[in-house]
Amino acid sequence: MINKRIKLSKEEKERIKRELQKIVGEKNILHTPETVYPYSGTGMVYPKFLPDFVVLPSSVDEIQKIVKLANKYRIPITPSASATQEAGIYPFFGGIVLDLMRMDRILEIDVERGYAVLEPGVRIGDFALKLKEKGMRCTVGSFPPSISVLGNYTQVAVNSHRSSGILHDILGLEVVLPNGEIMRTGSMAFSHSIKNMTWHSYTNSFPDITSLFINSHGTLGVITKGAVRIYNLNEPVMPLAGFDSYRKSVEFMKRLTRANLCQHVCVWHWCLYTIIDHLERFGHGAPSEILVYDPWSPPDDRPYNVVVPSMSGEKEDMDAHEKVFERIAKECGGFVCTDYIKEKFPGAYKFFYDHYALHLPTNTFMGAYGEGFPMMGITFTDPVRVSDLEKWGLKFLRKSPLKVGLAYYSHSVDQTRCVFLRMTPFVVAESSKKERERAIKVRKRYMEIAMKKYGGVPIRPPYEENFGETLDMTGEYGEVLRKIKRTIDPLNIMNPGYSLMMYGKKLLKE
Amino acid sequence: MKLSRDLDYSSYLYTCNKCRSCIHPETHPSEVICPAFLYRGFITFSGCGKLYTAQGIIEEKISLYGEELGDVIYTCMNCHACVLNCPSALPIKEAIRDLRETFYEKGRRTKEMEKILTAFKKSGNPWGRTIKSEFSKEGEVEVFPGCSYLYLYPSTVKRFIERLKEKGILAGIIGDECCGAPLLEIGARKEFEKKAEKLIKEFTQNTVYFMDPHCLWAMKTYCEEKGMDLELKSAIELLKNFPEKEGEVLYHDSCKLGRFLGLYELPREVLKRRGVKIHEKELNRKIAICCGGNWGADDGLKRFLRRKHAEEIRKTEKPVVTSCPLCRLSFEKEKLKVVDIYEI
Repeated sequence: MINKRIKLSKEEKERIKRELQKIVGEKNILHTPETVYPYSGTGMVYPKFLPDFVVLPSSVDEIQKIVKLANKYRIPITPSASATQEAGIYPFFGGIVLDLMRMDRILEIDVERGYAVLEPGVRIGDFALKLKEKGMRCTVGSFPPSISVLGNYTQVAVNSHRSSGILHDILGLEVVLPNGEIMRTGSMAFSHSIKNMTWHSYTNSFPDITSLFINSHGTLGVITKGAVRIYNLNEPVMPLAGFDSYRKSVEFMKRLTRANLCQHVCVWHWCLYTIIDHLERFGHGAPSEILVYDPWSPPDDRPYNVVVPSMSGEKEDMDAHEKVFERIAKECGGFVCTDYIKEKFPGAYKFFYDHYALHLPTNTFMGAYGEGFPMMGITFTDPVRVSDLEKWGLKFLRKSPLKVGLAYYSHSVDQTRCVFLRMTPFVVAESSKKERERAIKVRKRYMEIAMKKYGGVPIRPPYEENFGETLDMTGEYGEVLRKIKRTIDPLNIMNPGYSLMMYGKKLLKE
Repeated sequence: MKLSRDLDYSSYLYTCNKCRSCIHPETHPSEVICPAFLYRGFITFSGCGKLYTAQGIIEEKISLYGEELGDVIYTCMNCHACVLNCPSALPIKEAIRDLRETFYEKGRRTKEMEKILTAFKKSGNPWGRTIKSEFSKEGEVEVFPGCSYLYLYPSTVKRFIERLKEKGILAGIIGDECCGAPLLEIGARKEFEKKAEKLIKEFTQNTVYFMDPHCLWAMKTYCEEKGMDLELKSAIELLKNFPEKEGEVLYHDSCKLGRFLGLYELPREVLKRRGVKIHEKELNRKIAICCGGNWGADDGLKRFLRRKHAEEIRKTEKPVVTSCPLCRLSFEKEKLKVVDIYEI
């Protein structure tokens, strides 16, 4: 079992390099520190661990051969798609990073069946435009157009607030397992024995293995194909509602989603839509007011929260939906503020319209100096306690010694049975590396309280020390997961860096 | 280690999200605008990769003597597609500049650098030939054609002067010498400054018109850094009042004229005003792809780009108009029908 960084002799490295070259061709492999460095960690702020090789495979067959080679030499494989933001690369133990972005074919857009089959390198912006041509759409969020669709959809919280209102849109996956064999999930599991099988069903009368690969970050295999839900691009409407408290916004989200009035709905804190407006109009940076004012008091008549729905359907239906939207907003203590936002925050309105009505991703968010990503406290939260978390969270972060602008967004999941809350502090340009390190500590404390007091579920294991600590909090669930990992990947070949973070050192000891 | 002479990277270098906008533009996510990524397929060679490389050197995780460091730094056209498309406006431009200067200062050389340096040593320009201007220096406007025009296309310069004369403008042609732009491209800053300083001494007027956008960029960079108050302009401005000419052309954006100098519309306005119908490439202006003509980049990458463009341009069956001698040369190498903006 791989439990420490591998050390390859010069001869071994040369031999493996030659074998990899035979598989993918000489041009599709990197092996020197200066060429592999950009693949050595998550974002720029986290520690770097140089892989021995970075390989660009072009087919499933090549991936199978690489996995078999890794088994032969017992070297780690770290699969990676676009690796944007949190979805990073963790080659703690060296070995091979598989850059899957070269496999970028949209294999099928099946409008009749309502799904598309993609390779991992397909980018969401490209995909959304191709679907638009066919009168269809996919689920998008605030992420940039260049990220991998499958990379994003298989990690439920990475750049979340998806416009389908559910956490992932995967119907089935094709995976190269750690032994090099291919497995398909959902209805396509039967493609093993039935020729004309399609990807139409996510279930197949057995336990759901697709979900095992959601959030698994390549620790159980290399995802080589995925069928994702696509939706009709219906007539959109986008009324906006303003509220003076988060509690009222959450109540509104609950009523809206449970009355089936929208596909998705998101709450935007005033600081954040102010920043978005700035980004959309000026490209990058952040306006000074979000640093000057406290996060509870907007500087003028702008609403504390703006609630943005994704509503689409037949025109008559939408006209009626808009009226009901207005009535429920009033009943929840809010008001319709569409014209106000259009006029005062045209950049924010454009951003909302691109995402919630047109379902086209933009890179607006990326202009905010890295979005303060090491500092974000993100949780799936109990809808009853989430308002208290917002109240406490802002106070806690405001007290912390960080030079950041505080803001958040929040959205309904599964008809507001769960509420996603993402505290999104924005780094100011002059933030130092040390300050970012301090921020990581602040986030850690935030997460501890968010979990213990407010029922917040973390969206991913922490990057910091005490690996496996979060999984240990789940008792037998964690034990079962470790057993599954050991059974599927007894040598711990698949992404051992992330495995260490997720399953903890216990995985390596037993 | 310190990488830059004037930039504290610590403010910015840790905030790249790998959003890949430096590779795929927001408006055309299916396209690749980074020539090096198009050629190699690894993020290492992209704009974001340059930031990582800078970080690796600053943090001493990457050796300045690494065998493939030259490949990482110079498998890049320095076309600034990444710079202008980075939504965070991260200092990719400075990273490219500083990586090249540091590489050069450490005595490292690539094959392409060697070629350029040898040529400069021999003749004071990147062509390795002594270039003598046959044109008069006296005139009411000062025009600097640049050694690429003088060496490759002297007849274009000649016709341009004649036509200016027909319009009543007497142009004085200054400078047999190279401005040093190729040296600036490869990171040989001090050597570039010597050349630029020498050229500046030849200017007799406060306003100078440059035919080659590479020279204009280099001299503007020099003047800005030295705080010199000279008015340096593209000679395309002088074409504004030339007579009408019918025809249809495909316009190719020069990286230097467009992304570096922001003159996307000037050549288009000139062509339109003169009655020439312009066809645009799908990827134009800020997201145009480099022709593969710039100095100092990897030879394989240059060839790859030339062929890619040739394929695309041939399909349009239109002559391609360029406003840069290096773009012109690239397309001519592929035997395409090229029209120089100064020849229309």
